[in-house]
Amino acid sequence: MAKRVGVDKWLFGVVLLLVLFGLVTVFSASAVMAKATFGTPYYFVLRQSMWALSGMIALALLMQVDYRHYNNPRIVFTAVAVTMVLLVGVFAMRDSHNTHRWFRFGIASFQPSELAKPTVVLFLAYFLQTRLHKMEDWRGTVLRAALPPLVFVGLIMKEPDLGTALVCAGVTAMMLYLAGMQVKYLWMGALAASPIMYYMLFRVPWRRARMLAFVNPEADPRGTGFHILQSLIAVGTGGLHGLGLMEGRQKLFYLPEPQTDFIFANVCEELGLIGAILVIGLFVALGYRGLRAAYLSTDPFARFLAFGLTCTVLIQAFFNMSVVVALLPTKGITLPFISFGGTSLFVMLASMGVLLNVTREID
Amino acid sequence: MKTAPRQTLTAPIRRIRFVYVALFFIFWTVALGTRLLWLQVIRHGDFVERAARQQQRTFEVAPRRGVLYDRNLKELAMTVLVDSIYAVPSELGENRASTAEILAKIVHDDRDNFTSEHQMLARFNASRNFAWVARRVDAETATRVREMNLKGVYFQKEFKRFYPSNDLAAQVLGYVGTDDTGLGGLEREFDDEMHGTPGHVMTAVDAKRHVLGSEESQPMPGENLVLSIDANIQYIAERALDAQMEKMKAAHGTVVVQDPHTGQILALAISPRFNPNDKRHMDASVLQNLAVSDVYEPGSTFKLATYAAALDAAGVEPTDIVDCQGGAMTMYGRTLHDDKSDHFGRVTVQYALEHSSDVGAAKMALKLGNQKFYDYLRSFGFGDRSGIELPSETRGLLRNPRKWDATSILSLAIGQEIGVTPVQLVTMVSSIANGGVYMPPHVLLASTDQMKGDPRLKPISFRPSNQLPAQLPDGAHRVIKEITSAKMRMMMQGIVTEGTGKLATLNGYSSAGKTGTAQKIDPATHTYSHTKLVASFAGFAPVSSPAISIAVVIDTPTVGTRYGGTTSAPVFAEVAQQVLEYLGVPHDQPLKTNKQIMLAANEVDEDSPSENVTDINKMYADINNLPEDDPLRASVNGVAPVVADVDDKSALTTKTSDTKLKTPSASGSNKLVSLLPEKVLASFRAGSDAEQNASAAMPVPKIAPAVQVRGDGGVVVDATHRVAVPAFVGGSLRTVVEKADQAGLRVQPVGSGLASDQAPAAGTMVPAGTEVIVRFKR
Repeated sequence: MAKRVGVDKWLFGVVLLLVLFGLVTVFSASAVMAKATFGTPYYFVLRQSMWALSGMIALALLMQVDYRHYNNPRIVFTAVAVTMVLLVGVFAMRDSHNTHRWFRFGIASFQPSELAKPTVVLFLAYFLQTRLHKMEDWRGTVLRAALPPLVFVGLIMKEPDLGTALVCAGVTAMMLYLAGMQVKYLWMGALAASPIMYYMLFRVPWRRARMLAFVNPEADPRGTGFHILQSLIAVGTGGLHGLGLMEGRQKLFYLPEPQTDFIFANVCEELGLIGAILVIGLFVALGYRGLRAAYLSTDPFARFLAFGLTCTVLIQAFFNMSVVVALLPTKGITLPFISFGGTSLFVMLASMGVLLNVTREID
Repeated sequence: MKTAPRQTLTAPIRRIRFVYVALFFIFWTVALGTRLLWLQVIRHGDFVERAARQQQRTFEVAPRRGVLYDRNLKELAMTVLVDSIYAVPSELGENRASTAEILAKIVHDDRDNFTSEHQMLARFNASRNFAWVARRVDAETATRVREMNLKGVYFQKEFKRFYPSNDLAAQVLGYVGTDDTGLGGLEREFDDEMHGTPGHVMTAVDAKRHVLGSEESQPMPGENLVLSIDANIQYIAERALDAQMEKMKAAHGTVVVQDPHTGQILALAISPRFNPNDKRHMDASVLQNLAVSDVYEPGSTFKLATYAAALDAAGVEPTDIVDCQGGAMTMYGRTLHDDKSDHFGRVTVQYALEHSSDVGAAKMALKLGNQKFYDYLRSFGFGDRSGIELPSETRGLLRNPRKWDATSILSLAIGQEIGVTPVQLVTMVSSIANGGVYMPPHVLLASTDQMKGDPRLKPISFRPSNQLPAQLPDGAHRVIKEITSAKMRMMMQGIVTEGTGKLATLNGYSSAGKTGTAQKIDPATHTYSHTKLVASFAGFAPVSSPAISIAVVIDTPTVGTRYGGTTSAPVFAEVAQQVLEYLGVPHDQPLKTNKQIMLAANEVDEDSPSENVTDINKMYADINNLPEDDPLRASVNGVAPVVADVDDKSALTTKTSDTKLKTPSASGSNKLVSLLPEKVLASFRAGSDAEQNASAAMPVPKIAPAVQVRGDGGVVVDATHRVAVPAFVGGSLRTVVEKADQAGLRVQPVGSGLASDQAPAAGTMVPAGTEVIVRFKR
């Protein structure tokens, strides 16, 4: 056993800050809408607080559980199997918003695609740790490593939840890259994926509209360009200092889903460039501490685990923020820790618990 | 628990790949940051604007238009709040037709004000949320509709321009269109200043159009303007002019009363007039202010300028002998003829002027020479815009001597080949009367911009001064020497006492002036009319220290002798007599008995029109040299310079008949009463302190009516008679009118019911004929 030096207090602090910041922002973004829709301004923030609390408890517990316990085929393959079942099972559920993303249990709901992300990381960490010398082996290593994640990605795309699917694919690619996979396989993968992406993006009418709106939101400011335009107006009006917390106006039914996918726009509007840089800074700090742990880790499993979990957060966060500022086309994807969304927050916090446990081994 | 075999660190970790992954994220971070900087800092302004566009709704709140006051701060034009009635058709439901029927019975009083049952129903069916029933209705109609208590029928206050004295000084004040823009007179000239700045209510709205909050900017009321016009003098001038117009059946007429020492216009009366309260029945032909925008050939009145110039520059003395050559003079093939009866031989200069000899005047001009004569005319203000604060002023027609032909100077000397405005004429007379200084005419005294609605605003009562201001204002300049002015005054007095102007004789005051009769030029054909005359008189009084100068121009009188001496001089006499007494100018002549007046009026030396040059196109050639915006130019081109405001169909301005105007809405009348009277009469109180102390409760002293009611309802004011204002409070309209008649006062009733308030207060000593405002309340 390596010597125990305790969890990374910086990382813990950053996560805690992000969660608290998220609660405040969710309240600010949702209060008016919640009041109008549910009669109480606290509807969203109370739910989010419950999830944050249970998530923090999970984090605290998992922080104490030695990550080596997961380095076990029974756990890994059970996780893969369960996720697979859930991802398939979700199609049996009643659809909401024309999509199949949620399991609903009374007031609570569960989104299995959120579970897919840590499962992919766990599987790849387990699988790749022993095959670092055999990365040249196309059939034996690369294909076998990539297959389960790609099945997940396919299922999630089918939900459809393109954003989460892209995050999974991105994390898979990054972990394979770190393990030493030849870069040509990345290109090949991208080449293989392109017709699928083309089909997904341009053959599905509403996605195609989104893509066109991304290219030129002014073409149809009241229709397909509406979301992205409203988001840009929110970001732009923020200026340097922002309008002040709770003072944002775009959340008043202009900005679509101000408490979830576009919460960063609300942050930009109310807290300005300074607030936006602060949020980005927190994610960069999280990324730095996570990648540092992976870099310094002496255990390949721990390294891949830490690397994969950190990259999941970073890809998702940066992807979300890029959508808000129209650097990338609109995808349904939340901002980790901050956006309203129970499953996402809980799973994120739990995976941070695992990451924190890994950091115990690091100086 | 069984764990996988532990790996040693021998595994080939490609640490460089960590760096690449880290660089990938750093690059992404930088991209995000740059993008945020671009959106939030560089393009911040654009987005703020876009956000405002979708998040805010702006409603304009109309400002209150400025008030036009006369010099005693009596409101001549004001803006009052009146009720407009509208309906919400969706709330009317099935009752639309019946509601329209009921409402039309109440509000529909005019064939073309868009309030018939049919028109109303059409509007109800056209919109779900809003339809006008009738706009700007009078208080009585509003009350009746209110009492019906109809479902879905509502009221909204709207501003309405209101002219308390109806047609008083109508062409000076002008009028406003339905959108509150000035369309004539001062309303047009000072539209920008008087209109005020609209206020805005900015409402923040969410995407579902809920109002989230609002920010208001109060409308800034427009500037108030104080005119130099004195409403009482204006009234006197209008009555006198109207009466003469009626008697002479003339086409139109103008009376301008000016303070010779300041150039301020005290009255600018034009007949016929229009009622600016009643836009539906305005006749486009009477909208123009003829006193500034139209010229006429002055004829003999213009000889004043000729003689003044000759005395001033050519060393001519009134006692010099001038050879009038038996009434005929030929020069360059042109022969001037004096009237057949006036075969003057060698006479004094004064005599020649008194009897309006054309030959005498021509010889005066010849003594000056073209250029000098022209310079004097320009100095008197002819051929130039006076700068009076009224729109569409013409500069008149005066050609440069370079364009004169050989006989032009003869024509000009007797007031031909020149077009002048009545304002130019009166200003010339003032220059002679005041000691020789051209004082530019003004109708505007002050703008109260700095003290909008400030009660400290003090009335600037007119006190005739005997001298020019120590510091001459901008635009003022000396025209003739003071001694020349004195000689001219004396000679002009002679015209009244000995010559053609005998009907301008006043009772108790000396007066001076010159008659003139010109053949009217038809502007369309540029030929002289042999039947149409323009009779004018320009003079001042009293002679030694002139308090007022007056120009009277009556166009195309058709009854009796239509010459200046008989048509216009009596108007001068009537106006001057009343105004001087109203102003309290001390008498400088013994008061005559009625018999003496009758006798004096018997013989009048006629001033017939001078014979005319044949080619008057010479004068009209000058029109082409006028500035583009000169009204004369427009009229020659066949475009009416003033366009009548034809109400657009959307405007439902209710026709307001005269009877209704006497009962404006209560909100308007409050101000009316509170502001008016004390100030007007302050000047009269000084001399009558004792009488003023008479308690209001005391019986009204019996004073013989000092007002003679004329056939046309005009009133002659004898200001030497002061009467105490009776206590009207508590009386009905009838008793109030009766009481006022007994006291010799006029009543302006406001509202209906019983008298609740009056101004001036009971017991105040006022000149007979003064208008008392009485407010009635139920």
